[in-house]
Amino acid sequence: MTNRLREMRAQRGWSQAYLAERLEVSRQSVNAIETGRYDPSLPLAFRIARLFDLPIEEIFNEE
Amino acid sequence: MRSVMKKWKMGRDCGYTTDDRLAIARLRGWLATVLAVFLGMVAVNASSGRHGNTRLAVVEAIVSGLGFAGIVVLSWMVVLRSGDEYRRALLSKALTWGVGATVALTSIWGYVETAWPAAPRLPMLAVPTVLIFVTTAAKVLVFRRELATKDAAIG
Repeated sequence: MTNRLREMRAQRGWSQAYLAERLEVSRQSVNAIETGRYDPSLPLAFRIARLFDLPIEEIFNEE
Repeated sequence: MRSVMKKWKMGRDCGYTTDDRLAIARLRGWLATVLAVFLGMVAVNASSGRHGNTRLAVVEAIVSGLGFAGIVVLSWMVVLRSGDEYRRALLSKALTWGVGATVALTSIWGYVETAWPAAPRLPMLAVPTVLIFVTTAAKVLVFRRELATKDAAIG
């Protein structure tokens, strides 16, 4: 699975630490998701989508 | 030195909550107790010179089994109470490696003892101790691998 998390975070000028704080996860989680080492759970994917105000499928792509 | 301290701090800041810290404190207390009991039993064994088929051996077997079960249960408590799902995944991976490697090592040693009666015997109480050290090593390896790759990607 690939995602556009890094790109969307960069567009908003947010740091990994800030995004992690908003999502209530560790910065390591954000980094692992961005680099594709970890696929988030469905609840976390929904939180990410809500935060960026986008549908999940625009952030995460099945590949 | 500064980079080591930074990595250590990053590891400590990795999503721990008060519940995590309590569970970890309990786990550490349990591990210290198992190690202390183990060392005490080894000392008693060494001073009395007793081997197998004694009441002490039965106590050793019970303490060893309880130690093994207690460590696994408390480790899972730490995993389940971790507020961060990525950290939970890493801890689960480390625990699985630790338990798997311990079972493999002790099984191999069991076969060695059966095949070669002259081979040194692994005390029953050594099993939880092996579990502690192997799981700790697995955790260090799993987390180090993550810490090594994340610095390059911080944006």
